Amino acid sequence: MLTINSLESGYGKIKALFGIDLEIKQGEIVALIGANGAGKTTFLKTVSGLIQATGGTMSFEGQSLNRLAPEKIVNLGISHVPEGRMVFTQRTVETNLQIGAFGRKDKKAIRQDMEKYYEMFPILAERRNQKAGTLSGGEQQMLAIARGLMKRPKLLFLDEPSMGLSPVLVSQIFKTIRELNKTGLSILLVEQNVKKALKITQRAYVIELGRIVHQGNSCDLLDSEQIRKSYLGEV
Amino acid sequence: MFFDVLLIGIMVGAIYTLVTIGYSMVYSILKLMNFAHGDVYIFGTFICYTLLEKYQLNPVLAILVSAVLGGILASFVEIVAYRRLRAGQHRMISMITALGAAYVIQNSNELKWGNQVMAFPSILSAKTFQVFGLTIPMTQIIILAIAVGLIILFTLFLKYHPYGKAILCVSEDIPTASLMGIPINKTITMVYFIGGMLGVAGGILYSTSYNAVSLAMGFRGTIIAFTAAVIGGIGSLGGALVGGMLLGICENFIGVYVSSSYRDPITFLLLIVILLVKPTGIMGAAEQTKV
Repeated sequence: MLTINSLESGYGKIKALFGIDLEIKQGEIVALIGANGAGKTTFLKTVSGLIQATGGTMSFEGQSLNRLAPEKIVNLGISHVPEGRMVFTQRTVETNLQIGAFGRKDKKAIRQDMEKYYEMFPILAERRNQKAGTLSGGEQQMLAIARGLMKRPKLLFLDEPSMGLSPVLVSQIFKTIRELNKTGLSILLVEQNVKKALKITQRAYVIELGRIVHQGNSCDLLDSEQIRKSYLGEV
Repeated sequence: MFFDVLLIGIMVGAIYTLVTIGYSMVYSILKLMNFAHGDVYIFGTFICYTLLEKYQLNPVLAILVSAVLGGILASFVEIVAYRRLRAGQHRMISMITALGAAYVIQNSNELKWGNQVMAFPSILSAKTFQVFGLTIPMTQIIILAIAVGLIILFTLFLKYHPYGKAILCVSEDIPTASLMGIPINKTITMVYFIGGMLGVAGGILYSTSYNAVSLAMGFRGTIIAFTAAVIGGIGSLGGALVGGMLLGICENFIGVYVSSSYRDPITFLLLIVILLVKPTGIMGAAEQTKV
């Protein structure tokens, strides 16, 4: 579904990705893990068009993504829930969801989707007329995910959904992610919470300084001594 | 007397609000001082003058045509002089191209229409009517109604239309807005178009109420929009309204009760005082910066 070959990109003259190969198949849930500054967010931003790729190829369902604007890429079916949630804090919860459906014309179905996510995250229903800036971190994360889903994507990018959340909330968010995947949605999960990420995904890529250094089945990586040492703090 | 001055002040304030909206919206999205704003609106006003004087066009049609042409010129300036500088360049650069665009339009206006004050035809009824013993001129009521109507229309557009909401989201966070599928370039061009149109509407209403149009009103328009936006709180619609009204009303009271030559000095002294007390403007909130 998503095929990335020797992708390179960066910020101005500073290179951040040095030839990334990555693939996601229909219905898969895949983790991309690595330390701070390894290039995880840069990778997502490059695929979703926020940063221009300087080399390599990206294709989604056979369509090339190179040089496409972000608004075109999201319309192809890739929704990117950015790091730090980035909800529109001055707008209401409801407006945030409506904006997530920007460009969709099926008003009735939009309404139904909205109700579906209000059911999935009841706290959002309660706060639908509040400004998103007044929500707690966990609530904003739920809103950001629901907003990303309003586009009815085929592939969802989640950038550090557990960041800054309490352990209870983290478990809840991860449970939601697994359930979303069970409905057939393909997911690429970027996480620093390596253990939890490996537990809910099928495959994983480990990125270090802009290069993929390991890849494989998540359960194998979870058992690998090297991964345990570098990322799980175990000796 | 007091009531007359107040009424004219409110009318001028509503016109100033129209002129300020476009300026303030552009600032809230791009943090760009659009120096060309006043010259665009006076261009539209001149077009309207020509259509009325030379071609005796129906006033409603003349206003519509000139507002649309003003909107097109504003978007043209955006596409030509600002768009390429949006990504990664220092804001100072686009401020200079804005200044350049302002001079190009101003001088083109001068070549076509000269720099003299010309009599702008009064297109509204000159009748008056009596309420509670006060004589109220019909013209001012109509102008006020049109200006307020346009402000309400634009507010509703921002609140309920998908593209209105898109404009608000783009002004909050451009990258995230693009992840929502909002076409950024198209949205920004639209802001310029609407801002130019509202500015021209304001210019025409102003010119018809004072029966005058001149090149100098363009530059003054930029200054007014800038001042009203900053006093009210730049970037917000409420701010444009409060700033525009305050400026219009103050100007008129100072002009009548003090002296019209003190109108501008006192008004701008007010700007300094307000900003010293509340640097974000009356309606403005402190800008949040990411850490």
